[in-house]
Order: sequence, then C-alpha cells, then structure tokens
Amino acid sequence: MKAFEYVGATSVDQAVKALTPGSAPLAGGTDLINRMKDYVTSPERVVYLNDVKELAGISGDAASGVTILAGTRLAEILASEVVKSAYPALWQTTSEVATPQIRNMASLGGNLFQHPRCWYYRSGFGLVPKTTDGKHMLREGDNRYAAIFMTDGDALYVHPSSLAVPLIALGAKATLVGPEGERTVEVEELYKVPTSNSESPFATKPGEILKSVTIPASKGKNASYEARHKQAHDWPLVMASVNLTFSGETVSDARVVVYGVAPVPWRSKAAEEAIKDKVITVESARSAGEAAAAGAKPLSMNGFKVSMLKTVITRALCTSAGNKYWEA
Amino acid sequence: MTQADRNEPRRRNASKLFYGTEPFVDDLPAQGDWHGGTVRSRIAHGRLIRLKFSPEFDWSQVVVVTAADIPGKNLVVCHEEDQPSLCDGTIRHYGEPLALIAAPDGELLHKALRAVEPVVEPLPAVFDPFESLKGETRIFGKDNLFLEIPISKGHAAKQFASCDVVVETNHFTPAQEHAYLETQGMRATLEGNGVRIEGSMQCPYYLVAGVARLLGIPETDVRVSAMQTGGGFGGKEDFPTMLAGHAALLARKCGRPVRMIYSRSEDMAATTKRHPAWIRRKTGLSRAGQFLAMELDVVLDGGAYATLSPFVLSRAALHAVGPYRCDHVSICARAVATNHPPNGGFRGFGCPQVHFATETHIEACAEKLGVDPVELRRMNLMKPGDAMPFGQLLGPGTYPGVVLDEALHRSRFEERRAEIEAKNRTSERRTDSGDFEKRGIGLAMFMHGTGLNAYWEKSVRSRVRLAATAEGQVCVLTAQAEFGQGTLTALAKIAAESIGLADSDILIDHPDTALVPDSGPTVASRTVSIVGSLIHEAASRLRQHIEERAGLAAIYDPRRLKAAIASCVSGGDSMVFEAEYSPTDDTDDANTWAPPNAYPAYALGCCVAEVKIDTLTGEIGVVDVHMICDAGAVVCHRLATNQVFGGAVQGIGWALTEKLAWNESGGMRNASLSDYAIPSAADVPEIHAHFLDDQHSERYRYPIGLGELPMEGPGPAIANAVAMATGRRPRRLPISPEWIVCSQGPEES
Amino acid sequence: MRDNVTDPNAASRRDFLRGSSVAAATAVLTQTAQVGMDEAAAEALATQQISAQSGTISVTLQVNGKALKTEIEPRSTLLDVLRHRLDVTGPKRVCDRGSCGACTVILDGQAVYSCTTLAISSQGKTIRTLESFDTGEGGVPHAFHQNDGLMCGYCTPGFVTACQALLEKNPNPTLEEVKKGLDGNICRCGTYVGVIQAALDAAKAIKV
Repeated sequence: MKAFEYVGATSVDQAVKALTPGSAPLAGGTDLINRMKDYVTSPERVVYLNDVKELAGISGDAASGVTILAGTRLAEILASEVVKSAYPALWQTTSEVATPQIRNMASLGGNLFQHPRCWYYRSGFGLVPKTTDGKHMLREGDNRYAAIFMTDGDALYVHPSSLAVPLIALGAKATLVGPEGERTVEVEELYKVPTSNSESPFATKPGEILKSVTIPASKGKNASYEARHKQAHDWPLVMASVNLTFSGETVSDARVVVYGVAPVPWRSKAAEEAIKDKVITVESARSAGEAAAAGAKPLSMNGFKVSMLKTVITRALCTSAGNKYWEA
Repeated sequence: MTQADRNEPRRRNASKLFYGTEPFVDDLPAQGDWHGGTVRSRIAHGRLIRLKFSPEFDWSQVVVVTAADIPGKNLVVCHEEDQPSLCDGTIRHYGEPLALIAAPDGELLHKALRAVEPVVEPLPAVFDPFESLKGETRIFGKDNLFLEIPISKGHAAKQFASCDVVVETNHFTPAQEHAYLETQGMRATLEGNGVRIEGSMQCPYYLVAGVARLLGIPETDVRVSAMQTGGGFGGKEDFPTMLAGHAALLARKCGRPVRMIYSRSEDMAATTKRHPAWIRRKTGLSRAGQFLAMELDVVLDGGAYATLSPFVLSRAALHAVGPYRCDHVSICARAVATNHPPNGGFRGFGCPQVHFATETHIEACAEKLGVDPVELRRMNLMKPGDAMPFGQLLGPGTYPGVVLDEALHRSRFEERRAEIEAKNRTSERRTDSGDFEKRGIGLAMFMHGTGLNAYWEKSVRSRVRLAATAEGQVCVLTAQAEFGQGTLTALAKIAAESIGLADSDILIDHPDTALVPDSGPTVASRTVSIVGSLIHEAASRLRQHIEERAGLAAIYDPRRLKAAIASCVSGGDSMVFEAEYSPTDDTDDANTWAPPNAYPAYALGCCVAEVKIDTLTGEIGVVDVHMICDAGAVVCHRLATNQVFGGAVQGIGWALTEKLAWNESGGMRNASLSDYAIPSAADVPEIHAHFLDDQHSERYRYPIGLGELPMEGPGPAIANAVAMATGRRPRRLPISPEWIVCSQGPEES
Repeated sequence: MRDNVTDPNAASRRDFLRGSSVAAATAVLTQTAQVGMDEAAAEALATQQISAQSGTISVTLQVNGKALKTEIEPRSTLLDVLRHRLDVTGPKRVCDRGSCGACTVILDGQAVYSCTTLAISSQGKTIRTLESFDTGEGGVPHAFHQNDGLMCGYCTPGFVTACQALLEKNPNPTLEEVKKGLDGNICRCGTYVGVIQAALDAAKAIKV
C-alpha cells in the first residue's frame, strides 16, 4: 500500500471539502483497502466517512418510503424491521452479502461504489484489459465469471454491487452531494460502461459522494433470488431482484434486474414485458425468464449463465408470489 | 460419538492456542529482525539477463543476495539435484526466485522489491505435459521426464482379447492449493559459526541438510527449531528447505536475524500444489464381473523442478489399482516437467488422483455390465494374501470387504439409494411443475500404504530417544513437527502407555535439532505408525531397565515407576533409551520406486456421500458423509475423528469448490482466499466418522497411520453421487455449477 | 512528519492535477473521478481548511481495556499495529484481504476484520481481542478446548473472537445461526464440527 494522507471527516460538508482530486472516500474499507494493498488504487488522500454521524441511519416507513443514509452498515439494514417486511428483495440480498464481519463494517455507499471483482482488473490490467497486441484478455482468456450481455462492447466484467440490483428494482433514488451541492438521480444512473481503461464505471461528478438512497413506498411485492458456487460466503454467480405492482391478480408493472450478467446491473425489459398483465405462476415466471435470455451473447466459457439467468428470474418472481416450490 | 468420549488426553498445546499464547514464527517479538523478501520471475521460461536496480532507490539501506552470493552449492536439496535456490540464469517457472532482499522494516522491503526489474529474454513455455513429452521445449534432462514407473503383472495386453467386456475411460484431477492458514515463514539467526533456523515446517532435518549444503558449512553448524506450524498438509514438506536457505543467506549478508514471512498471494503463486493428473484406465471383465485385465496410464504434471514428484508418482503407481484383485495389469506412470511452478506433496500424495480414477471407472464398468457397482466392487476386492501388481501380498487382517460392509451398514446405503432413485423418478415427472432438485448417493473405496516406501523408510534410519529426568518424568525426543495432526498429544500418549507413566509425566515439545535425533520427516502418515512404534520400542527398553533395577512390581504402578525412574537418574544412571528403525523384510535395494514389500501395512477406507443438486442453478450441496476408516489402532479417538472430519472437508473442497485458474505465464491467477474458494462452515455437511479398531485382531494392536487417508474418499464418492443425480459421470474435478447446468458440458478430459 | 496540519498542498495539488492526468485516469477509479475537473474549482477546494494527517502519527488505542500509545502511519492497518507495534499477536494474518476471519477483533462491540480496518480510524473505539476473554469454564475458549475445536490453531483466535461476538449479540443461537454467524471465518484443517459444537456449548455455559 502506498502512503497517503488521511482525513477523518466528521461532517458531510467536511468530507466534500476534503475530497480533492486524487482523493478516495473510505467507508468500511472492505474494498478500497484491498485495492490499495494490491496497488490497483493508490489515492493521495483518503477521506474516512464512517465516523460521519449524519451519514448513518434509516428513516421512513413502508407507506411513505424509506431513506437509508449512505454510511449505514449492512448489519443495520438487516436489523431494520421495515426493510425486512416491506423490501424483502433488499433484505434478502443484504443478508447474503459476504460475511458477518463484512456486514458489520461495510456501508451501503461502499457496496454501491465497490469496484469490479474481475481478476484481470484486480491484477492491474484495468477494466478493459488488453494485451500489448490488442487482444482482449477477458474475451480471449478465462471468462467464466464474465458478462453475457453487452458483450459486443469492451467492458466484459460484471457489475460487483449486489445491493444495486434490488435497489434499482425497487425504483430507488440516490442523493449525491458534491462541491456543487446536492442532486438526486435514479440508482441505475450512478453507473456507466467504460469503453477504455481511462474511463470510470461511475457516472458521478468529481468530488461527489453518496448521501442517501430513498426507496419509494412499497406497493406491490418484491423479492430476490441468487445462485452461487459455494453455500458459504461467496459472491453470487447470478442473482435477480423483482418488484411488481398488481392490478387485482395480474401484474400491472414489473421491474426485473439481474446481477452477474453485465457490466451494469442488468435491467431486463424483456422479462418485465413478458410478465406484465400476467398472473404469477411457475409457467408465466418461466416465460419471463426465457424472454430475458433472448438477447444474451455469452463468451466462450460462460454459457451456463444463460440457464442460471432464466432460473433466478423464474424463482425471484415465484418468491414474490410466495411460491418457493424448489424448497418443497 | 462414544468412541470419542473415551477418557483421553486433551490436545496438548490447545489451551495456549485458544488464548493466543502459543507463538507461531511471525508472533515472535521483533528483536531487531530484518525483513526478507524475494524478487520473482513474472515469466514462465526464459533467460535472466540481469537485474535492473532502480537508481531512484537508495540501495545502501538494504542488502541484496543473488546466486553469486551463495557460498555453498546453489541447490534446494531434494531427490534430484535440479532446482537452484536462486535463479542460475535460466528461468523455468512463474514466481521463480531470482534474488533476495532484506530491509530493516517491511515497508522499505516492499519499496525495494518494487524497485528491481528483471531483464529477461523469454523462451517458449510449455504447460501441457503431453506437449512437454514431445521435447520441443527443454526443461528437465533429455526428455522432460522426471520419472517413469512401469509396473507389469501377467500379460494384460494379451488378456484383453479374451474379456467379455472392455471399458476405457479418461480422468482428470486438478491442482489443489494447500491453503494452510499460516503462510510459509522462517527466521534465520547467526549463531556461532553457523545458523539457527526457526519457523513453520514439517521436516526439521531436511532444513539442516539443505541449509548446510547451501552455505557450505557442516550440518552440525545448522540448528533448526520447528515452531507450532499453522497447517502443512504436505505443503511444508519440501518448500521450507528453500525458504530456510533464503533466510540464512540474507542473515549472513546483513549480519542480523532475518524473518521471511510470505504474503498470501506470494505463497499461493510461488509454492507447490497437488499434482494435476491425467489418468487413462482400461479394464477387461468377464460377463460375471471379474476384473481380468487392466491397463493404466498415469501422467502427473510435475512443474518445472522434480522436488517430490518421483515420490508422489511412486505412491500413485503403487496404489493405482486400488484395493482390487487383478492378475493381468500393466501400469505406466510418468511425472513430466512443465513450466508450471513445481508441484509437490499434498495429503494423499498421489492417492486421491488414482482413487478418483479407479472408483469412478468401476461405476462405468458396472453400468456397461448392467450390475450393481457395489456388487462389482465386492466381487473384486482383495483379501489377505492376494497379490498387488508390484508383488506385495495384502497383509493378515486386512479386509477391504469388511470396510465396505461397515460403510453400507452405517450409511444405510442401499436403502437410501432406493429412496433416492424413487424420488428422482418422481421429480422427473414433476419437472414441468418446477422440481429440479436431484439427489444422489455414491461411495468410494480407498487405501493408503503407511510410511515412506520400504526403500526410503530404510534409507532414513529413523531414531527416537527417551530421556528421563530427575523428577522421574520422561522426555520424548523425536523430529516430528506439530501442525495440527496432534503429533505432540499422540506421541506422548504412546510413550505414557508404553512406559506405564501418567500422561502428565511425559514431556514433549516442538522439535529442535540440537536436542532431538533424526526420526525422519513428518510426512506419509508415518508419525504415530513408524515413529510411534519406535517410541514403543524405546519405552520397552526403559521398562526393562527399571525392572532390572527396581523389580517387576515397580513397573505396574505409575507412581512407583516414576519414583524408580527418579531414583535411577539421581543414582547416576544416564537413563537415555533409543530405538532405530530396522526393516523386518529384506528390501530390494535396487528397486527404489516400486519395491515388492512397499509398505508395512495399508490403511483402508470407504466414503459414502450424499449430494443434493439443483439442476437449474448448478448448485451442489453435500448433505451427508460417512467415513469408515480402518487404520489399525487409533491412538486418540478425539483427535483422529477431527483428522477424519478435516480430511473429508478438504476432499469436498477438491471435489467441488477449489478451482485453480492459471495466468498466461503458468502462475496461479486466483492467488487469494477471496478467489480460491475453500469450504467454510456452511459448506460442511454432517460427517460421520467411524473407525474399525475394536476387534481382537493383530492388525488393531498398532496404529497404521491416518493423516492422509480421509482426504482420499470424498472426491470419487461425490463424483459417483453426482453421476447418480444427474445421469452424467463427472470425469474431472472440480465438479462446477457450470458443468451441472450445461447439459452438453464436457464429460471427458 | 506532518501531524494534524492544515492542508498546505494547494500548489502541489494543482501540479498533480496537471501533471498526472494519465496516472489519475488509469490508476485511480474512485467515484470522485479525477478527470475533467475545472482547475479553478480544484484550487478553491484544495485551499479549504481540512485537517489532514500523514507521515508518522502518535495515537492511543484502547486495546483490551488498556490505553496503548504507539506510532503509526495512516496506511497502517489495525492488524499490523496490534501485531507489530503493540505485541498483541492473537489476531493472525492469513488472507490479509478480509475473507478468512483469522484477524477478527471486536471493535465497539462488532466483530470486524482488523486486516481491512485502518488503525487511525480505530482511535477512540474499544478494541477487544481474545487475549481479554474469560479463561474460566464459562468462557468461549474453554468450550473450544472441550470440543477439540482446533487442529493447527492458526484460525483459532479468529474463530474464538467471532464466536464471542456472536454470543454477545445472540446469547441463544440455533445451529443455523451459529453456522451463519461463523461464516466469516475459514479453517483449512476442517474442524468446523468441533467449532460449531463449541459455540453451542459456550452459549449454554455462559447462561449458567
């Protein structure tokens, strides 16, 4: 790890002022400190945010919506009764993030702004890893865990934040604060797809940090389902979150978002269309899963993700309808 | 459970470990130590032209050691003399040590390491052993073959013609990372004319020989103290010899104690792994299911230097047929050089690979014949007096069939199999309504010859020593290291029982070569078996001595015995008793790798595993494991049970989650515990361990060795269970969700 | 050594912005993406009064009930400082990347990985390691001892600490809660059966 200077911020205002160019915000440290140890990220200055009291806490209720401040630890999200009852998609995903220790340390903001796990990136080859003769290391190399959507482009890693997935499904909005003040965007607008190593995967402005995420009132049903390699702590291979509103028994509006298939949280409009105006059954859920797979273009080693994609969407939809048939 | 509840001593050093007071090498106080590090190659094969030292770094703050600084022979002492301690001009693998640096503190060391740039001229590298055998890229000798072991019995080639059925299958088993939680670590201090080594290791006397040769000093000037070692599993058998040499070279150069502690990524990238193995198996059977002829090819990827490859290959060849009878066998086993980092010893030592092939191959044979695979096994299992392909007769009391029956009984195998078959059929019908869970149950037999093979066990000439104190207590002096197997506890118990003293009157500690005789390496499941029997022998001498001095009555009461020992010591008796290994059989001195009486005894095992598979997500859960072990007498049931659990967990990891990925230079790409997934608590099923040890047979009077055995069963048992669940036979490990989900996935290697 | 000084770096920071846009763009990917910032704005920011610390810093850490003074750098992890500065060697370095649990300590009542926690951020917080635990029959270490919940012992301090933290939060855990609660720790010897039983037994013992 390279030496850096340290600012222990105690207010948002102070943090924003301290985050000069070349600085990195530090919360739980579970991602940034590892990147610094591996010389993947070497900031001149680190601004510590986890002691900023005004950045931690959860407020609101299911009827009016819930605001989670960016510094809230994942363990606190799990302890929130309102999250558990009104936003099971978020609660379930949070409970499956990493380990108890990491959930005690890691913040919502840190989770949303963690960097991809792609091992070429973590070995210092950047997000668009190419050899000196221009060959794409991930396209030509070990791409088991890489994307199956947007693979015509050069960003082939998968988006690392599992919490972004339910939040986007729930229609959450992110409030950013920076030198120019506050602004609020959709959570999915926090991300972009870099086309070269000089571009950031984040659509934030210089000096901006996340202040909070607001989830709108819970009206319908929501759920998440993930498939993983190990039973114990591991990243999901593929995970889906769904959020549905109903008109009677039929789905009037759906959001289907998938983890592990694209360099951004993947919103499957095709699955959303397919389930709209349907009653949730195993068959209609499976049709939505099939629809989601239509545009997938897997790489040489990750065709298995297409099948997993269909399954996690099917099961997330069925979970929302209270039918966990696979556990029977 | 009842077995473990016996009144047995607790693990000797446990409380110190629980309270964090038992020091590992990196827990030693700073003591002004300098920190040592290694400059490594980032290419797989090439010439090292020179090292470019950045002019921006102040090199006067540190010391640098290159091959030119080696006073003795630039060699890592092992069987073949092919591996330099520091690069001799030719780089043969990623991560090869090129130079060493020591600095007063860790941060400065890291800065220095980053300020050296190796200037290299790359050469073509070969990572595939079959490519390597073509010899276009020269790595070792004339033909890149470390060793070939042919074993032949009868006339296999001719016999195939008269078989009713011939089945041929190919199998692949992957490299496995030891992932001992304590990384390799060593401390060297100059002492008199020589050097003192302290650290994490399995074989202190290997380090004595290695450091002496490297520094060009007598072995008497090298003192090695093994510390509590945070896991070994075979990974700290040969590698510490290199690391101790490096630390000693640096200590000599800077004149201060030097501590070298590998980081996790360095340890994973630079140290040995389990040998990847390619195994072709061909069996000819009669209609009734008798094994009539077998042909086996075993190819191990040895990596760039021989290290322990010949020894691993020997064990693989000797166990290749498993506990089965066959009169016509032809085995060709080869260890091949490639530009991967050297592979080495890892719990099981060649056996997990061949047992995987044998036990999954048998299921394919049964399928072809249309018979129950359990019955096919039973029909062909050896009995005492049956000959193995290399000539050894299975010893008295050794009944693989009894182990199989016990496993079937304890796991209710046949009942469970029928239930699962019925359930899988129902879920077949229910697929459309969304039931994708499939279960499977599988079993595997396995066996493990105890100790080094007869030739090498003889050449080691192990010695142990018992020395009495003035208080009437007895010190057990052996070179056996403690790295979790319970060496200290088990050897002390053997001594206590053999002498007739209370366990608390036995003194034993981590070995220090200044104090202990060379009782050989702590490997090959030989600690309680071979070394334990020597302790027993020395103890008998001690008892005999006391009987002569104090009379027969003195030796049957622990308190009187203790008093008698004390009075002998104060009376001026030296009271030191030794025992030395002397092979009972005439070993064939010319046959190094497949001696006819290869091992004094064989431990046996049978594993039954039940799995639950989600065929749509590919998730595989092991839900239940039965481990039946027949390893002779069990010294400490509690510790032995833990060994069996631990071996099973490592076997589960090897079978399912531990996927090693290589980078373009043949090094480990996923060199972190975040990316290389070893099982954790939630991955571990209920494991039932049972020992066959309470019978009144000669076999159960002495321990046969248990350390490696339990690792060898879960891989093939899980593969067979997965085959039942999915209808497809895994021919390679690990079995991944990818393979389960892709119905058209690769079955053959 | 610059301890608690007001940021004097306006000029150099501006140079940094000019001179190293390539490095910044390729090497540093934080959400505060460094590229494209208006220089005037950067300068304005950089001259704000910010209390930054760098070099060697004296700190006091509350470890196992004692206030321990030592010198650290901002980049020093809590694990490094405990082990190498304060001679608290119970917590072990194993993965050094927050995925194995051997370095677990209890920080303000929460089990955390000390290898990915900065020492400088741990000032003013209560740090507990296994060295401070109850060594009697009602303690967690004793339950591990009784159940042979170890082999080589290298993961042991982390498991004992994670178990202690788990039981402080949930004194009556189910088997599933124990498995989930200890999921942040790895044992390569595979002693999970003993470890899990130890946690269940310790829960009982603590209640008595």
